[in-house]
Amino acid sequence: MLYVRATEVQFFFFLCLANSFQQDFTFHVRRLPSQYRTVARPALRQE
Amino acid sequence: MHVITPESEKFLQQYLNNASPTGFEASGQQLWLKYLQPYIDEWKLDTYGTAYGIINPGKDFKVVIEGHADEISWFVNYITDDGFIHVIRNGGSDHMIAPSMRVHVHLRKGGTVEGVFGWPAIHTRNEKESNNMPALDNITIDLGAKDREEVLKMGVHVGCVVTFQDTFTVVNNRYYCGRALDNRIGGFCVAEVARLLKENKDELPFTLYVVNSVQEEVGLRGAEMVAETIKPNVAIVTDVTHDTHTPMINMKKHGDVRAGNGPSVTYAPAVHNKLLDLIIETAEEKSIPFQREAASRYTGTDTDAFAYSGGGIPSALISLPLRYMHTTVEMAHKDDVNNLIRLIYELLKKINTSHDFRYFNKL
Ligand SMILES: [Zn+2]
Repeated sequence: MLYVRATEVQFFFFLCLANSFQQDFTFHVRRLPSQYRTVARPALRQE
Repeated sequence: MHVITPESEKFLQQYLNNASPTGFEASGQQLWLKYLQPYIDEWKLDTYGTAYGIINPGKDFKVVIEGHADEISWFVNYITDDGFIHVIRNGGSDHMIAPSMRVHVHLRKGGTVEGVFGWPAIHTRNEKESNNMPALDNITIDLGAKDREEVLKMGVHVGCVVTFQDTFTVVNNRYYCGRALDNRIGGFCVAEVARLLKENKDELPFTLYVVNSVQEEVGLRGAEMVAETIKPNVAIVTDVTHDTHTPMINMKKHGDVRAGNGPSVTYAPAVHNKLLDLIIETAEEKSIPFQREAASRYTGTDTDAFAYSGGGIPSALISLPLRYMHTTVEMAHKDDVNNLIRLIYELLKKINTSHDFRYFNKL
């Protein structure tokens, strides 16, 4: 079972929130299992 | 009703005692495929190591049963001049349990070097200092080397992967106990389902994929890959969940699941309600005990990867209650393992290829 540190989860929420106002929110919602990718490789936000 | 045989238990022991760190699962996958081979028609391996057996190939309707093959571990990240090794996590490894543990450092050319996570003696620790609790930045591995040079000579370098040495035992003839039952025991269970199908000469109307995914512990990666490869119509995932009845766990926060009371089914947005209903129907019909739990944004298992792939794959999660997850003494109740195998097996016999998984089809 996957363990994600609380700080990472908070960071993800922050990114999600920021993205929802700024850019393609549906991208993140649609690809929920890939949420960790946003955390591990922030560069992907530019996709 | 027990379905696990002494032979299958022997395989479980061998499989669990073999290290299968995330990203380095190949030897475990070989063991698993060798065990599975008599019960399948063909097998495949993808480029990152996810292995799967195929039963009844060539049908349009495809069903996946899945566990994950990888175990949490550590990476050698920095070697001090004195020859002590600092690590980073490979998956959700627990720094709290590291001190005083024996480890294997896995070498690129094969083989291992033995070492220990040392820890200062109770006499020498200053209890008032903040640095007296194990943390990722203060746990170090000692290989008995006199300096960095000697560590490198042993074949150990940055990027070597590290696992604890602990092996499989049975506690009170009731609990399987050991390192990383999470989730090699899931791979074991789906292989046992394949064995039952073969031994009982069951004919399925669909193609069944018995999948052992890699890299779950770093973000469901293997499942993400193989979901796209197989593009199944249905995915049934099995992983571990927390037995919340051991000390120091808040049931109001983490739910009410007890080892020995049966596999646990999860209610979550990613879990398909119709598939979940079918699982519960199956359990009730066959008098297989089960428990319930809830998850919201993510289940933290490969269920999420399958569910949100390929335009939405009806997926469900059947979990094995586990004590002390991500320690070296994870414990799973034998009855739960048996019942989990039975539940997946009986469920497969209820799935037909005309299932309409849409939540409604007219207004
Ligand atoms: Zn895990």
